[in-house]
Amino acid sequence: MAYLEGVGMAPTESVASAAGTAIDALPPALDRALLQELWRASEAHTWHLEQTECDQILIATAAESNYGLAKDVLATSQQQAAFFRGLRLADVVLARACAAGNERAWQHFVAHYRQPLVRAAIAITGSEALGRELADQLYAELYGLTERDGERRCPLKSYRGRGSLMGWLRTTLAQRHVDHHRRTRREEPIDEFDAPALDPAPQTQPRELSVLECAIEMALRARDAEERYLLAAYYLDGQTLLEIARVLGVHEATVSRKLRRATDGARKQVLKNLQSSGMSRRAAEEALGADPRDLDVNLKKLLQNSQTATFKEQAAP
Amino acid sequence: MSATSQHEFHPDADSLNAFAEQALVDRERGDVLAHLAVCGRCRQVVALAREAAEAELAASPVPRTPIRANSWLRGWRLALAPAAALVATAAFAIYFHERDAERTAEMAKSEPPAITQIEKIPANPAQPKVAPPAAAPSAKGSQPASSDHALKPPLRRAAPAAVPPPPEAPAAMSQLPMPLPMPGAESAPGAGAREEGSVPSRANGGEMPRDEKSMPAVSEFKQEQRALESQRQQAQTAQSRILAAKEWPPASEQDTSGPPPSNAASSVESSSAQLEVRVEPSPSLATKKQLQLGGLFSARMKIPTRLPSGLPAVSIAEAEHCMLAIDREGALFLSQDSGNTWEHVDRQWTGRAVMVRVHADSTAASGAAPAAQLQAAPANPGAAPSPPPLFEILNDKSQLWLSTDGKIWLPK
Repeated sequence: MAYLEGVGMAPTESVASAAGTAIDALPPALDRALLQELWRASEAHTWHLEQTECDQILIATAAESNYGLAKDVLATSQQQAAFFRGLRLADVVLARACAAGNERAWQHFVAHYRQPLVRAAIAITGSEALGRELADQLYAELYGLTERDGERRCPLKSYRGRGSLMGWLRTTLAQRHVDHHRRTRREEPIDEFDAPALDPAPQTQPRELSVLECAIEMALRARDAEERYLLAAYYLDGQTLLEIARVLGVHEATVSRKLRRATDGARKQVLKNLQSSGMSRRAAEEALGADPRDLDVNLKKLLQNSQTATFKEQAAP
Repeated sequence: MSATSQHEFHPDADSLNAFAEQALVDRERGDVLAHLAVCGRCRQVVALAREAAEAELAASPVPRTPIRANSWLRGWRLALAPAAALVATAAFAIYFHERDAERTAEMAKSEPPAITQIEKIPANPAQPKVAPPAAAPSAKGSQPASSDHALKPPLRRAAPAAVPPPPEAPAAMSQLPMPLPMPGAESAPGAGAREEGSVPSRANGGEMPRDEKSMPAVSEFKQEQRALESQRQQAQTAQSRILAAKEWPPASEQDTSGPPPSNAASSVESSSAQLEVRVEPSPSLATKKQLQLGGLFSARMKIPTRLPSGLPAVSIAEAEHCMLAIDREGALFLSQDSGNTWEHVDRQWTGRAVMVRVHADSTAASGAAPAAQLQAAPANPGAAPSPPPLFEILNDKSQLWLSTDGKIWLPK
């Protein structure tokens, strides 16, 4: 807050305006007792938020996603309660209050999240200067300094409370950093470029190579999402088993076992595809022993060439 | 959201964070995972966010437990384990040491009980048979034997190994030295010097002053001391007796009296009153002949001792740490330290000495001893004076020479 005051910027948006019109469309079926319970659970009173303001935030959040149900479905009181119990109420209320420009909320946010945000940025960038710069940029963005069509845009509005607010902040920082890195990487000059040596004549017949490429592509596409993720994270990204295990929330040995199963399954599938294309088993095994440099298979492209339409709503502006 | 990556659509930060925190339902998780499988950018985002979270956890201060007032006791807890181990080791060491000591003592005590039979035979068949004055089988050994034998048969049954003394024992023989009670042995040990192989170092074991009966306190005290001494010496001589049995000398020309014990190699303890024949478990008929008795005198009959002359001793007598030995050539040697060192005694007798022995009844012999020698005996005004031992040398012509110190010999 002091930083914002120092730069001459202060939140001006009210909570009601930040919640939008959903507050006016308050579902009559929402239980007051439930709101009272949610008010206590949100701990918003610790940073002096009024209960009415908290109720408006909660109602607006529920109206945005219709309690996690499909549209035009009227949620029962149990579904409403289950929806709110599945959220991190304290973080949601704080984020929405900050997005609305509540000063007390910002004070609480700065007190509890400012320094962790800087440390997370430093950890992500690997540099203190870059980390502080990244954290300041995100902080300014969170505060709503960015405007579009004359309206403040606060990324905190997109926080829906399924994970922790600090985790959301870290993920947002990581997104900013990765996107920035990818943008700037294209602009970096290539200092040393070694022209690849001329490939010797392939020992495998071109026809067999084309059959092998087709078989590998089909085999990788046949893997399920988890196996493709394991293969990509391990072989393409170079992540360790422990890192993958922490992301998936499983044990390291489980990742190793699944990874081995994925590679074995992919190999068998390739052999099967080769045999189905008219090769004998022996010829298929010999084809698998071909020099990988003779293959025109881009595993990265192959593994990451699958478009998913699931996240259309997350399209970039 | 950024659109700079190769994919047009990405999960938002809330979905990725919820995925990383395992907060998504299965359907949403599958969708995010499918996207991560093909999107390197989102995989990198998730990985970086996870890495930052771990760094935050690592940097978070660890809550420290407050130091309690009794923390010094907690610090000593670390030393409790080695201290307990040390105490246990010491306890085991002490226990085993005590047990070994007890075992050694028991072995020393059990050596005499290993003797299966103790017989009391008359010391000299030529003389009238003598009843042991103190009811020899009794361990207490303090009761007169003459009248109690008939009155207290259970006492006699208590020592089945002992030969009951003849009832016609003359009362005069009660003046003979009393056998001492032997702890661990059923019979009283013989008085005076013993035959070789029994207790070589026991000096004056059976010689009790006759007037001890008139001084019971002194007598009991001396008896206790002698009992302790005999225990110690028995343990010492147990091993030497085993070694001596290997060098059992051939039968000598000593007297044979009394029935030899049958089927046993024996060592003989002779005294003026009685002889103890200890039957050993490995009998040999040849060794029975060596159980020669010396009448009123005692003599060692198996002599493993090597003398300074290089010849084996053929006869040894011992009394009060004073040992005399005669080798095959008839030379006499004297030892004042129970046989550790020997000195040659000049020849003061005629012929060839064949035997040296101690006259058990020194008082009887004291009359024959030279007056000068008898006066040289130290007087003991506090207790009954113990008569000095009287040694005898027997030459090949059956002539006797007497001496009280082993150095000066006078013909008898």
